[in-house]
Amino acid sequence: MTTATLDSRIQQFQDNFRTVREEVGRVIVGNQEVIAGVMTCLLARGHVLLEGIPGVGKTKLVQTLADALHLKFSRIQFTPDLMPGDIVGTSIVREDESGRKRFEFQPGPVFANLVLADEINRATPKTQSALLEAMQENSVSAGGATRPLEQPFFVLATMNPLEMEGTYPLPEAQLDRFFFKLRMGFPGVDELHEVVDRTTRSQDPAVQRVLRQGDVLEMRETAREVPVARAVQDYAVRLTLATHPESDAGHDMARRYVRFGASPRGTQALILGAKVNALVNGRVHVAIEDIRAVALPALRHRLMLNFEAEAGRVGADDIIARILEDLRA
Amino acid sequence: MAEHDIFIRTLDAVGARLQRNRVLRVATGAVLVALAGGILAAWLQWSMGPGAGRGPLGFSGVVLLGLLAGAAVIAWPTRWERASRAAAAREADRRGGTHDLLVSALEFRAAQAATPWTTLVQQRAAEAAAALDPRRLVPVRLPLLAPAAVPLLLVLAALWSLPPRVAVLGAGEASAAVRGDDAALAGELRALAEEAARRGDEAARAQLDAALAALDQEGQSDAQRRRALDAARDALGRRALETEAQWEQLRRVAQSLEGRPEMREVARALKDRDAARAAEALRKLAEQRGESAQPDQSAGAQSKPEALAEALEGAARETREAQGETSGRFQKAVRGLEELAAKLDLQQRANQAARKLDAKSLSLQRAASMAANRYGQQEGTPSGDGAPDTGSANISGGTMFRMGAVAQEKEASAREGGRAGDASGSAQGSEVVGEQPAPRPKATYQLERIAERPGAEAAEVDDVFYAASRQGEARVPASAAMPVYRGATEQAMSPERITLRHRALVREFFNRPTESSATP
Repeated sequence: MTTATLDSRIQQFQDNFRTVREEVGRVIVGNQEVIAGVMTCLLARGHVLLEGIPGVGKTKLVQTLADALHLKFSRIQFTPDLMPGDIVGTSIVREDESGRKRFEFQPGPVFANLVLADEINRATPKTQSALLEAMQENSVSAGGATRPLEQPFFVLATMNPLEMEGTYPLPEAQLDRFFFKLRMGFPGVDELHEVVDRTTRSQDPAVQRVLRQGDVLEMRETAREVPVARAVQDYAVRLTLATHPESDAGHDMARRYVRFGASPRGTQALILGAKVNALVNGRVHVAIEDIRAVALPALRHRLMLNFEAEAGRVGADDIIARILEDLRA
Repeated sequence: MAEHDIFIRTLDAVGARLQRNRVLRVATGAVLVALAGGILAAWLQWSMGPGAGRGPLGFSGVVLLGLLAGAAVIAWPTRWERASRAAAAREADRRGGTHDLLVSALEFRAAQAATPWTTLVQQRAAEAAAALDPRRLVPVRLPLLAPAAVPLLLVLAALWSLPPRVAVLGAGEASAAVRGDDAALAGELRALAEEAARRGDEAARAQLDAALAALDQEGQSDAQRRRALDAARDALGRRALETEAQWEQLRRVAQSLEGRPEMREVARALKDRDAARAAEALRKLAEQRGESAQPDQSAGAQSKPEALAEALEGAARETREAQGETSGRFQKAVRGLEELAAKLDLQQRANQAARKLDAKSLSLQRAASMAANRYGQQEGTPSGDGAPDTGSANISGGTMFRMGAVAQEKEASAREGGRAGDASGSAQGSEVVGEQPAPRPKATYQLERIAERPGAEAAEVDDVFYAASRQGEARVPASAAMPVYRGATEQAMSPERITLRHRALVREFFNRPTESSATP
C-alpha cells in the first residue's frame, strides 16, 4: 500500500465519519459530541453506555444511527422480569414435515449489528450478565453451542440516573466493558425550539442510509492501523496510573477520592479512541491532544469513588479533569 | 531524503536555540543569586560598622566577585549540554502546534521497519518542519527574571554608597565597649595617684584610688560602676572647688600686693593664676635683694592659702626693709608658690580625668537608655525615662525583661514578681540602684486534709493533697482493654472510614435515596 492509497483511505474515513455525523444530526438536535463519541465507539470496536434523563433522545440517537449505517438494529427494553433467554435467544421444539421433533435455536435480539439495551440497569444482574458475554466475546453461548455474532456488533446501553428505585446498579466488571460512557445533556433554548420544530410537524425528518456494513468494517480496520509513538502512549499510561490511589504515580485527587482506579481496558480505550479521534481530525498519528479528548468518556465510569467523594459530591469527571490539568505532556 | 534532512536540520536548529536559552536562563539565575549574596554581604558589611571596610573592594565586593565566579563555573558546563532531538521535537511540537507530529516522526524514523503509516507520518513531519522557522519558534531571549538584576544592582550600589552605620549597641555590647577603653583612663588615674602620693597629697590620692577601684573592679553592674565613677568625679570636683577657693584668697593677696611696685609682677602672675610665674618673679626679686631664694625644704608646707598669703605679705614688707635684714620669708613664699604650682598642675590633670569619668558615666547611662527604649518597643510601651540599670546579660526572657522592668523604674516587687527573673527561673537580677536585690519568691505548698473519709484511721497521714503518687491497680486490665481499642481503631481505619456496624446503614442510605429511606 502506497502512501497515496493510504491518504485516500484516510480521506475516505474522514468523509464517511462526517457524512454519518451530519446525517444523524438531521434528526438529533445538538449533542454533536455525543454523536461523535458514539461513532468513535463503533469504529473502535467498543460499546457505549449512554446516560441521560428521559426524553433527551438517547433511543432516537441509536435508531437514527442504525438507519444511517444500514445495519441490522434491535432494541431490548430491560425490565426486572427480563430473562437471559429473552436476550440471547432460546431453543424451541419444532416438528419437521416427517413429524420428527427437534430443538431449533431461535436467535434473540442480541443477534443484530446495533443493539439498544434500553434502561439496562432495570434488569437483574443475571440478565445483565447474558449481555456481558456478548459484549466481550462477540459470541453467545446458548443451546449447547457458541454462536458468533455478526460484525459489526455494537451495544448501546442507556441508563437513567434518576429512577433508582427498582433498578440494579451495573457491577463494576460490566461497567468496565463499556468503551465510553457518554452523557446526554438537556438541550438549550435554541436546541429545544429546534427539537419542537422538527418533531411536531406532519413528517418526521428522514435519514438516508449513507454507509454500508462493509464501509464500517473498513473504517474499523483503518482506525486500528494508526501508529502511536511511545511518548504519546506513555501519556495514556501515566494518565491511567494517575487514577490509582495506591500507585506511586497516583494523583492527589485519586489518593483522596478514588477507591479503585481505571483498569487496563481504560488505557486501551484511551488509545483506540484517540486513534479514531486522530483520523477524524486529519492526523495520521495519535497526538496527546487526542488522548485528552477522549479521556473523560473513556475513564469516568472506570473510577470507583470512595465514601469521601460521595459525601463531598466529588465526581469522576472532576477528578479526571484535575488530573488532565496537572499531568504534564 | 532531502525532506528528512530538513526535518533533522530543523530539530537541530531548534535544539541549539533551546540550549542557548538554557544557558541564558542558568546564567541569569546564577547572576541573580550572586547579586542577592552580594547584597547580603554588603548589608552585613554596613551593619558591622565603619571597621568592616567600605566600597566595592571591601568584604561585600569580594563576596560578590566570589559568587559571580562560582556562578560562572556552574553555568559554563551548560554551554555544552546540547538539547536532545527528542526534546527539540517536543518543544517544536508544543510551540509550533504540530500536535506531536515531530515527536512521532522522530520515533518512527528510528524504528527498523517502516510501514506506509510511519512513512506518511514522516512525510508530513518533514512538510511541517519545512514550514517552521526555528528563529521564530524559539527566539533566544533573556529570561523574564533578567530585569530583576537592575533593582538588585541598584540596591547593591545604594548599600555600598551608604555612610557607615553608627553602631547602636545593646546593653551588654555597650558595657563591653565602655570597658574596652577603661584601661587608658585607669592608667591615667594611676599615674595621677602616684604623683599625688609622691607629693604627699593623701586626700587626692584617696579620691583617685576610689576612681581607679571603680574602673578596675570586675563583676560590677553598670549601675555600680556608674555610681562609683560619679562619686570619684564628685570628689575630684570638690577638690577643684577647694582650689578655686584658694585662688580666690590669693587673688585678694595679689590685690594688696599691686600697690607695691616691686611686687607688681608677682601680683599679675597671681591674678593670671600662674603660680610658677609668680614664684619665678619672686625669686628674681629675692636675688635682686641679694637673698638666696632657694626654697627651704624644712620650711614646711606653705601651699596652704593662709600660710602662703602670710609669706607673701611678709616678703612684701621685707622689700621695704634694709637689705640683709631678711627673715627668710622670701624662701617660704617661693616654696609655697612652687608647691601651689605643682598642686595646680595635678589638679588640672585631675580635672581632665574627672571630665573623662563624667563622659564614661554618661555613656553608661546612654546604653541603659537604649536598652530601656528597646524594651519599651518590645512591650509596646515607650520608655521616656533614662534607665538607671540594665543588668549585664543579654538573656531574652530573663535578665532582658528584668532589666527592662528596672529600666522603667518599676517597684522592686513588680520586678521580681513579674515574668522577668522568676519566669525564666535562672536569671539572676542585677542590683538595683539604692536598693538591695529583691528576694526571689519561694513556692509554698499548703497541705490540706480530706475532711471525712469513711474507714480512715485517725493516724493516717496520706489523705492530703500534693501527696506523692503511688503505684496502684488498674480497674480494667491492659490485656482486656487493648483488643477493644485495637478493634475500634481497625474499624474506624477502613478505606471508607465507617465502622463496620454502620456500613450497612450508609450503603442503604446511598443506594435508596427515597424519602422513606432517607434517614438511616
